[in-house]
Amino acid sequence: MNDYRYDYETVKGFILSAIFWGVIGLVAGLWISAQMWDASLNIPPYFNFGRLRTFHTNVLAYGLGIGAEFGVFYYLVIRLTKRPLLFPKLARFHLWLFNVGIAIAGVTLLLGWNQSLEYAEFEWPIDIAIVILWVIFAINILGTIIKRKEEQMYISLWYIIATIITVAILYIVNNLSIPAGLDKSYHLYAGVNSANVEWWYGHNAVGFLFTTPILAMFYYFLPKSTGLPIYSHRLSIISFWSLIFAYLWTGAHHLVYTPLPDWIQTLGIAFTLFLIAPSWGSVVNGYFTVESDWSVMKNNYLTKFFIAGITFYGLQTIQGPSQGIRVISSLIHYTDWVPGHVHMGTMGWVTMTICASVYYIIPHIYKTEIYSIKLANAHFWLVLIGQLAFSITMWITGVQQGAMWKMTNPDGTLKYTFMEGLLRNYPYWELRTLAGIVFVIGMLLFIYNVMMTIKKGKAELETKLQAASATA
Amino acid sequence: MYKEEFDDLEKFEREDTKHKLPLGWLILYIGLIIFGIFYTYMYTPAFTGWTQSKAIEETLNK
Repeated sequence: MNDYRYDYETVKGFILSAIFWGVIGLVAGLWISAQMWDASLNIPPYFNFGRLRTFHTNVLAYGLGIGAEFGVFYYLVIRLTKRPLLFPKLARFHLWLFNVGIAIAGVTLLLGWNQSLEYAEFEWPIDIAIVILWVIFAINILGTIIKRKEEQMYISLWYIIATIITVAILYIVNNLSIPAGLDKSYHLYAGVNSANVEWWYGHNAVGFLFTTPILAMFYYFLPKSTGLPIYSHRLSIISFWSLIFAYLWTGAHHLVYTPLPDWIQTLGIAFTLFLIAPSWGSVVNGYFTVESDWSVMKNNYLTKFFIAGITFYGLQTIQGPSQGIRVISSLIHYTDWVPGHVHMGTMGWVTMTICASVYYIIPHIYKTEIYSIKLANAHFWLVLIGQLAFSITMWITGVQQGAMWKMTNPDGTLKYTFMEGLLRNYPYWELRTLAGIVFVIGMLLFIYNVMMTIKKGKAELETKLQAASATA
Repeated sequence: MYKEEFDDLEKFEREDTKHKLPLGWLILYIGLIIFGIFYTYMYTPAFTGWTQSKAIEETLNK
């Protein structure tokens, strides 16, 4: 036993906040997916597709994704450094600022404040608040790591450090702009430079909010929950350094066949293809870890989440680089295969790993067992089916869109009108909404399970205290 | 606030395979670096004269 106690209040706060924002973001997601096939569901001006779509991406990426990451990081860091958080009160302030920030940010998006930069839509006052929030987080986490009592730095800590430093650089550089009033600003860069900086940021937002933090969770919770040690330390370290080095060069694959200079595009594509190797380093490491005892897949309900999650990560990291090469990009860029790809990552890899981490943390914090393993298994299958159906429908309609747009008549005119292409999408868009509903039902089971576990833990603690006071 | 057992980091990593790099993965890793250098050389206008606009022209003239 150690001579001090861990403080988990902030961890709980972030996890519950993330769940709250997750529900709102998922509802927004279902809503916009339905707006695609039923325009009457647009409620102007605040709940049109254009505004709700950015609301959906930001609330889920920043509210659910980063909210959960904050909570899990605060949990991980104190355990891996074997010391309490350096500034626990600052972490509590961080929690409040985060929730107020997400609420204000969401409202401003619905009001139409928008920089028109993908994943960086927030206007400059929100950006400043985000930078302050991130600096608070960085001071606390990096300070705790510097003052650590455990000499060895486990691989998860490396991923956490990479996340903190890289996001700070990306966010500040891409959001440099000239304000023109409270709700309006102009990007500091113009034309191609603006696009290049934006996609350097945009692609790495995915890399350092949806990849490195989730890998930090994966590398900690997989051995922790299964009892199986990670296969190769060397593989994880080499994968780490190559991943963070290569990721920063790949943004240009979002700008293939644009006025961006050819050499930048080529360099971006080359690094994108290389990225398969470090990504698959983690995939292989995960598989080989479980290979020493596959029975954990059956005996431990969490293993399914981690292994399915890392499998989706593996699929993503093949699919993404494939989409980046010129010949495929020319077919599928601007089509629905792109959201199909993104959602395999967010609904598969990110959500599954975060959910499994939360399933591990909550019972641990409340000193109890999970409320229902059956429900957790049902959650797993619903999320899996929903996610696969979402991606597959978008693959089909995406390739169909790309093919129809490319077809020309002998005289060079387009073979299909816009309307003909649009009508072909409807069945797939409707199926996508259905897939989304299945996924959301799974997520509701997860939330119910977590809430009931908390309730159970509190009740057990109450009983213990009563028993203790009776015997005293 | 809870009293806790410390995490034993030694249980997080396998001793016998700690320094192993799977051969298939290593081939992929090195292969992609070599391919990346080749690809960058082939499709950079300053090195080979290839340009995207020329490539499109050729496709249209087929």
